[in-house]
Amino acid sequence: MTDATASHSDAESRLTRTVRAIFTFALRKPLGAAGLVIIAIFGVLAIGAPWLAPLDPFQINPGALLAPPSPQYWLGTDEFGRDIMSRIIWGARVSMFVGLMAVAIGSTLGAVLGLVGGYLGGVVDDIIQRIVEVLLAFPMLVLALAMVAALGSSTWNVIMALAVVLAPNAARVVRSSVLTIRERPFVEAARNMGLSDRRILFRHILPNCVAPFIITATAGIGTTILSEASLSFLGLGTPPPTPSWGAMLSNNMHSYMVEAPWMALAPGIALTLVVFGFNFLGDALRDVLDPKLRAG
Amino acid sequence: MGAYIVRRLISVIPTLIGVTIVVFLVMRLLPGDVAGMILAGDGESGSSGNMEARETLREQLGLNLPLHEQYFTWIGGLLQGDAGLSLWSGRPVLDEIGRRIPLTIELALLSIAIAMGIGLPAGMIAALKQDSWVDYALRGLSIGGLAMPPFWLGTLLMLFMVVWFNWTPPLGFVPFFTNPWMNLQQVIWPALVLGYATAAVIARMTRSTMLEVLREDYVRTARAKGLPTTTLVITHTLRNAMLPILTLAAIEFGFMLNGTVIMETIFTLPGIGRYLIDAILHRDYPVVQAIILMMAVSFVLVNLLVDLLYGVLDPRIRY
Amino acid sequence: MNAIDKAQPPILDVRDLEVHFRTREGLVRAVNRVSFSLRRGETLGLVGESGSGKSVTSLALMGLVPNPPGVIAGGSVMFDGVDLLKLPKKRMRNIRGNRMAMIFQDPMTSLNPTLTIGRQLTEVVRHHKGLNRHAAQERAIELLDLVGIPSPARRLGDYPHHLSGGMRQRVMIAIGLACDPEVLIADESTTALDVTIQADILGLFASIRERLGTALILITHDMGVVAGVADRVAVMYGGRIVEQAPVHELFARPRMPYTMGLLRSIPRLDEAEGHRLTPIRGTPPNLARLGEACAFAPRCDFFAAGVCDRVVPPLRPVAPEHRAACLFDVTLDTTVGAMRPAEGGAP
Repeated sequence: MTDATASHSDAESRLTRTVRAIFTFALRKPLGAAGLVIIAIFGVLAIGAPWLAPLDPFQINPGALLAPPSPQYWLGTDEFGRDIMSRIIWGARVSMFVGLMAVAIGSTLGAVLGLVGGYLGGVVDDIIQRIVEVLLAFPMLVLALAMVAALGSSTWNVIMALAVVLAPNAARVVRSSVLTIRERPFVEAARNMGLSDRRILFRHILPNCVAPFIITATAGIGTTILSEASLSFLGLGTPPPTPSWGAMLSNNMHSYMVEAPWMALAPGIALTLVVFGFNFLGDALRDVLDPKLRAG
Repeated sequence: MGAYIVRRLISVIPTLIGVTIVVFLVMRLLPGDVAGMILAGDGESGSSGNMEARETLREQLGLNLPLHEQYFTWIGGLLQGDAGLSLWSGRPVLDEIGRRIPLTIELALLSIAIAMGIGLPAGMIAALKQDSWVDYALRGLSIGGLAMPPFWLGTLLMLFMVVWFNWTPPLGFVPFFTNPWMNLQQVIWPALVLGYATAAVIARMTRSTMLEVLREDYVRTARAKGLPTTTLVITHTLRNAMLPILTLAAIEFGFMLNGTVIMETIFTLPGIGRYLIDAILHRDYPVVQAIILMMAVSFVLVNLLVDLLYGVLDPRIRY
Repeated sequence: MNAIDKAQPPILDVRDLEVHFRTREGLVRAVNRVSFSLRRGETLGLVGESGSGKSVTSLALMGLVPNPPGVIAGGSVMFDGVDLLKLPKKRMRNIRGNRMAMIFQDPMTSLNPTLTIGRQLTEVVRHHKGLNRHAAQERAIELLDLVGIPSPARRLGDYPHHLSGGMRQRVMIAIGLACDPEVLIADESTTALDVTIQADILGLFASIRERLGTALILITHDMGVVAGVADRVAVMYGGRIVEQAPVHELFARPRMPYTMGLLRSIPRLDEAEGHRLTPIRGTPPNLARLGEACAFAPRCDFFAAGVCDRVVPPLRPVAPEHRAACLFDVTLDTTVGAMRPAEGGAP
């Protein structure tokens, strides 16, 4: 019925097919394409920060504290006279890096757990299930807070904390996919043919879990970026002086913001746009991938 | 039905135990010497008092006992209603929490009321008028609520009120029963922000669930019976759509717990959320432990409640 | 056979009904100028493959065509002298479920899983007839008894998942009959059931005909179903009616190659053992790409190039009460290639 045969098609046509699929996708789902564009823009900003930022984000300019937007400082300066525009661009680095890394690590970890648990069943599955349940018992931010509080405040700690928070969801989704597929006749057939467990897992079960996994993972990116921003906002995320959009909006800034309202706008707009982008993309992906799930 | 309830209750216990273990371990994972950090004040490492003072503190905190003994002491204390003393204020943790909880509960209830009150109808209308301008407008608003960080919205709201209306955040917090009007003035703003963000999620979920249900065959049968739209929606659609929406409500509760932390910080309200942050910054571990544990346990219980409600609403699950 | 009063005007008169769907591949004419009529007490069998337009036709009669993406593009549906297509929604709702009812294919999913059987029965009568709870329940018990469900009073409190497939289908029929409709449309009512239960349900339909005199439209792809219960049969293909005749006449003397193909592919008891079934070659047409040609042409053994691919065959009379849409005079005895063109020629 589904991808048992697809995995045998040659790599060449798969590439061209993928490229064509992307184009059709862009035409059919304009929102998703818009999301992709937004993500691409911020991605470019993030990667090219050192070259794209007009000024040095760390540089203090005592002569221009809380300056309004001007040709020199496109978005004005903050309480230390640092150029906000540059800090926004560098902030993209933090958000994108942390967001994508945390989702990559967390979802993969979760997926592995889900695969193993779902396929092997029995005691192993029970244990993994329990762990997942316990982790899911904590509200996301609270768990991340606790972990960052325990581990200390650094970028990698934030990434790991967020990854741990994401893993249970991925584990659940993958596990339920595995359970559904495990019962399908073609898996039964593969087992009867004497294929090893590992072969079945990788060649037959895994490809069919990819779709729900991608959906969950992309859905998680937006939330993760917001979580990192929230942590930084509370002072428990990426440590200063690294520019983080969340930190730029933190409470300490309130008194400055009254005098310089532009400080409050840029980081929030950037965050909103990026989250929009990932959400649109995620939605579009879900629309595209989901009907196939149903038909399968 | 009774058997179902009992079964669910029992299955929750291992999870709760797991939760306590996780909370306990996370706090014990702290790098460095806890006592040293406390003595040094505010967690700055560096000169941390003399060895004697540290040892005394370690004894006091029971940090020299083996790990599992510490765990059981803590659990034992909890079951007797003793969560230790706050390292910062010296008062019993439960007292401190007790003083601050009413605000958080008020904020959470208000937010949920706003969220459900806006989100549910919005989602239903959007589903019934799918692809009309109403639908698009509502979807636009809800996407906004999802993407805009609540702390940004809260901050903007605060700024807006300060700059445009010359409103200053009231200095002292007024509890509800002392002066309801003043109290609401303080609490309504964070509740609105939180409520809006949550309403967005609820609206989306309601809309997609309703759409799915409206496509079901039994809705077609109901239409074929010539039933009017209101009956159709309420009796046939809503009942079946309620289930996923309820699950969502449970998840939203968790969202609320996150949200209160942020909202209380922005609007400087003395609730549990802000207390948690302060405690973390002050390295007040007993407090942190207790609050996180409380949040997790309440989340588990809310989920349990939803599960039980499922049993009530969907007759298929009972048997 | 009960006596169908031919003197009275038909209860249902469909003229040139057109239903279009907007799809990614273009405009699909799911129902393409379909006309038929139904007399009181008559049973009409509407036969065709999936995609022939039979279900959409019935949905159009009931005003249940999903919109978007479907739209009724033309024609009229006269029910007891009133054009249903022009009725305001409210008045249509009064007729639906009340004077004209429809029951659907899959009893598993067509009944609401969270409501009791009793509730799903009583709500129809209470809405249309204004009965109070007690009277409605009495009626529900009466209906369940009518459709042959044992211990009907006890079944009222059951949920759909408590019943077997056959029972659920009976409940659906009961719901359809609740308000004593003049027309009952049954869409593939027997398809999802075992053969033995199918026979039961068909027997039920026959007894309903006898006892209540309800006019019935039986939609099915199974000619065997139609043979036992219908008075008349209309065969649909590619969104059009391609043959219409009283049931015996159709089975004995089909005049359209598609009908012949359908009849040939039914296994029959009187065939020699080892006789192979002859399926119709080819695949159903793409409804978005129908042109000015006979829709069946690509699959027809009698296909004549230059004729069948130029013109849409009109539905013309070939015998008393018998109409067929073929440009040639084809019968069971005609050999391929030796067809006489229809009298009157192609328009």
